[in-house]
Amino acid sequence: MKSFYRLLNYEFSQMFTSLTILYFGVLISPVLFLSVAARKSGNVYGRFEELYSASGCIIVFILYFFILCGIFIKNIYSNYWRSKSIYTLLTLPVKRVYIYLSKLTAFLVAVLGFIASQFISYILSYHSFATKIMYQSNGETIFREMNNGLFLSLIRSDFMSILLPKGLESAVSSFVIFISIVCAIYYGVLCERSKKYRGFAFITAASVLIIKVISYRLQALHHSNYTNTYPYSVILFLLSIFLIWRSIKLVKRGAIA
Amino acid sequence: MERLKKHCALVVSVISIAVIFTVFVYVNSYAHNAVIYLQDVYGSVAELDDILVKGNLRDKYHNLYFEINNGEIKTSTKYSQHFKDVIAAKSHVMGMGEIIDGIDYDLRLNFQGRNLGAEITAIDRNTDRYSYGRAAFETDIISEKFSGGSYSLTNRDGYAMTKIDDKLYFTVLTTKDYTGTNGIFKVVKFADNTEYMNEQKTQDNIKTLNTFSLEGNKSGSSVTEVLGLEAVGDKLALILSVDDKLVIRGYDSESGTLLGETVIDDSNMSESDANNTGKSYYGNYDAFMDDESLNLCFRRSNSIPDVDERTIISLDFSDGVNLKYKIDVIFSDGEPERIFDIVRKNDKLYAAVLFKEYRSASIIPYEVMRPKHLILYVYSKDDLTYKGELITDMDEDMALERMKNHYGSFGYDIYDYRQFEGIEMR
Repeated sequence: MKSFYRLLNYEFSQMFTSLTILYFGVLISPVLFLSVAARKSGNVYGRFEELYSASGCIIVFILYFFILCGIFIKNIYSNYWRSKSIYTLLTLPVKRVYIYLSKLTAFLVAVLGFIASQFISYILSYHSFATKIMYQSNGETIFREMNNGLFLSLIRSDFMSILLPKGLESAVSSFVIFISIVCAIYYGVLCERSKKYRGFAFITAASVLIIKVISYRLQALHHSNYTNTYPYSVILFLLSIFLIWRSIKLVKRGAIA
Repeated sequence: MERLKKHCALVVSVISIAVIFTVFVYVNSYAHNAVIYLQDVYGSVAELDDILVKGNLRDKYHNLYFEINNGEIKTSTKYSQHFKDVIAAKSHVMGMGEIIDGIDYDLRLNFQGRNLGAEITAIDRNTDRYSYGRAAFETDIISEKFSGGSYSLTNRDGYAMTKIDDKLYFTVLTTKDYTGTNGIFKVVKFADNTEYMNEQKTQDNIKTLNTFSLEGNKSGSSVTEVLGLEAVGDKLALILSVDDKLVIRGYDSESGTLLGETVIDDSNMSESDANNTGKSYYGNYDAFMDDESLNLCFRRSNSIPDVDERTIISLDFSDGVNLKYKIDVIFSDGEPERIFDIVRKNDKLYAAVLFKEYRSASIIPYEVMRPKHLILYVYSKDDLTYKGELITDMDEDMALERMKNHYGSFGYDIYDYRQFEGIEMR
């Protein structure tokens, strides 16, 4: 267990600098984009969550998420560059399962940090721009914040509903989605390293499911058609377990060296 | 720094989980910061002590449920994950039938010469695949003025249909231009998709509970118009205009026996109230029921702008049909948009009415954007004893909409804005 903990911190520290820069970007980018958007007069009559999406902050978030995935991929491949530390890792006197699990856990911690940064970022941008929204009261136009506005904008944002689930069903769905993304990325690289290209079929399957669930959940309150997301969550979860099991098999066999 | 690096994964996960947890706690605790309180306008809030007021202030994202009990207001918030979680707006579409328990009932009339046939279709919207049902039969009603294309009825189709325990009851909303025999009919069973084309099968599915004659419309004495059919507990209430007087009859829903009748003496159902004296009732009433009582609210005609005169009639169905309460009221707090509930309890009458700002006083171009007010009234004997407004911050959603330039048209989804729904009093 102690060796797992040491490995986990080692893996995480490998990404620490890039992650710090990424988190910082997540924190401040919306403020920059919002300040540009708020200069357009048409934008300041809407709700904050409308201003937020009109300013392009959601696209920025998705871009940062791709960068986060890129950091994971780079982290795995870096074991094969220059010093080929993968050989050192595989010859360490620890169980090979730990080598895999520590990296996977490090990635999950990075995702947690990413979500937390996005929350802080959203609250920061709300407090800097909520008062830029115009209101009319008794015929007078004023800039002021909507009553209980942060709460309302958090629950009314379809984008934030993925990160901030509004019930058990959505929470389970979001949780499984993030886990399966991380597992799929890691498994993809392992497949490539061990030249087992057939494994990409599972990654494709996972991607199709994730895209279907996310696109439904972003539209869930705007359409009357209903999809129960629990079956999708169960399938995705089982698929993640399967990918972890396959990955562990590859690592154990040393096929990835 | 080196020590921090040794535990960096732990540090980052602890901080992240703390942040995420705080945001969740924040959202759940800030839900209570919504503005919602009862402001007394007239009288003491103690007048409301006998009843419990409950309702929802909801948009498609969340629902603020509230209860007013002994002057105290309690709230709780629920969030929607799917569109089906959103409390649907109860709305009537003109001439498009009635949705009861998620089933869309449509009553259509057809004419063979002057003889009237009725057909009811039911589309179940609860299931993913719409199930379709049909029942049709020939009535003994004769249309005296039918001229090929169009026909007219007293009210919207929704008034003709009501439901008790899964069974649909209906009547035909005949005007004084119909003669023959009308009745109260029960749909025993809807023919399903396979039996749909079989005329005999669809006819057997309708049972006539009771009949009443429209022959008076020919002779000119006891001229009868049918305004609607309502369910009061397991009894049926037929609302008629006989010789321009409002008449309410009670029927047993099993046997169809007439249980009683009440004539509202000083009512005037005639359409031609030349002087607009505020005495003539409009036929499209609002009805509110509990197990034993039927509360009807009629709008009266008048020519004064922005004055809405109404008569509220409360009837007891526990033994025959008895008039318990009748009061003339004037709603002057805005344009009444919807009466949510009217209840009689301990000889007091309670009403919850949603108003919107008067058109004449408003500079807002779109009706839906006008500020709304929910007002609770208590009447005792002939007097108003309490009036209170439920103050909320719901108008802030519309306030933003009013600021926008809509370029001549305002396309909107009403579920985007907080609206009252399902206000009930018990």
